[in-house]
Amino acid sequence: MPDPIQNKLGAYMDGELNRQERLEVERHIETCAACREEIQELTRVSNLLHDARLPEFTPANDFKTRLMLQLPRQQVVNRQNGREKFLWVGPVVALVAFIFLEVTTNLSSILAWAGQFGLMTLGGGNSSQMIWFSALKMLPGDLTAVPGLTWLNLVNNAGVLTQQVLVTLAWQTAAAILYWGLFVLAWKKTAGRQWAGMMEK
Amino acid sequence: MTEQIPEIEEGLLIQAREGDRNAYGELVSRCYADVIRVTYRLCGDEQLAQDAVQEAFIRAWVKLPEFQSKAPFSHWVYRIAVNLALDALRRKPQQSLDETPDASLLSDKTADPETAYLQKEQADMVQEAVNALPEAARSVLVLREYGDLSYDEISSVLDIPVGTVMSRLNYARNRLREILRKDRFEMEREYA
Repeated sequence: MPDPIQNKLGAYMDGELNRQERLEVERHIETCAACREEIQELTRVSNLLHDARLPEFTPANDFKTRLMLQLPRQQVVNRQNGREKFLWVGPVVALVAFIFLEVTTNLSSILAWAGQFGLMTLGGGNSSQMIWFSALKMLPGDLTAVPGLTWLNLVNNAGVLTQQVLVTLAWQTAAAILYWGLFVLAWKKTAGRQWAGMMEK
Repeated sequence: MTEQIPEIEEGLLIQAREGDRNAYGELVSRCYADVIRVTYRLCGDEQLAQDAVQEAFIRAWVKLPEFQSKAPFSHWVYRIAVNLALDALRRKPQQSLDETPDASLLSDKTADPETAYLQKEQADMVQEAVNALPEAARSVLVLREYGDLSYDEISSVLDIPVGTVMSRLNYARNRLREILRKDRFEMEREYA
């Protein structure tokens, strides 16, 4: 008999084949005596397994009574429903945002002061022009002065402003993350020790 | 073909998760017979099976708050009991069934001694054949034949693909057939 069919006979007996496979097997066993005999054999083995006597186990009630005496105190884990679980998120996010804003505001003042003395100048060249704008200006005919293309000046100014703001913001963000990260590490160490002490009690 | 958890069991689970021991006791009563049958067939040792099942229910109680599955509670206990029984079996020194007299099988007062003895012989023969299977195949066979679990449910309990369930079951049944055919031949020869 074909191997694919033979491998499906057990599943056929268990009722685990889909409709197509079941019909395929049924069509096959109509004409294949070997497969019919195989199914009978499988059924016989299954009946033998089921008919084999079991020992007399502890009756269910006795088992339950003994078990109840041995059950430890159930550990109460977080059984809060979905909404209650996230109640703490709001205050924590507000606190984090507040710390972040305070740090960035203070740092922006420091950076502005440093910028007055040229300490925070990044990159060289003409800071009022984007690179592409400077390139266009250098081309013969100065494309930026062509009537109809003067809007390029607006785009350049917007780009320069964005660049300056982004660079400043990047510095502030990096410094704030570093500050906040050190703060969290220090808090974690202290809080971890406190929790460990409480759990031991 | 996954069995849905009955409503009454769902109610008991909710109460048990809140710490209601009586509700948990009711859950245990509902599935104890199935669990002990499956576990015994898996390991072939009555005492070992009882100990494994007791430990399984204790562990299930401790971890109950984490049990969020929609599958029947008994399937979860099967998983714990199967693992415990196999672990205990690996630690236990191997001995044949003949060395562990099972008086309970002979205590059936409705059968005459000869019938009871023959029944015990047959039960031992079947259990030894099941014990002879590799653990992986035995687990699948026992859950199918004695736990009456579908292939999907067995796949979920043992955490194996459905295709693997099918191939292990095929192997187990073919192997059992060979062993039982040989044993039956020897038994018929002995009693002829």
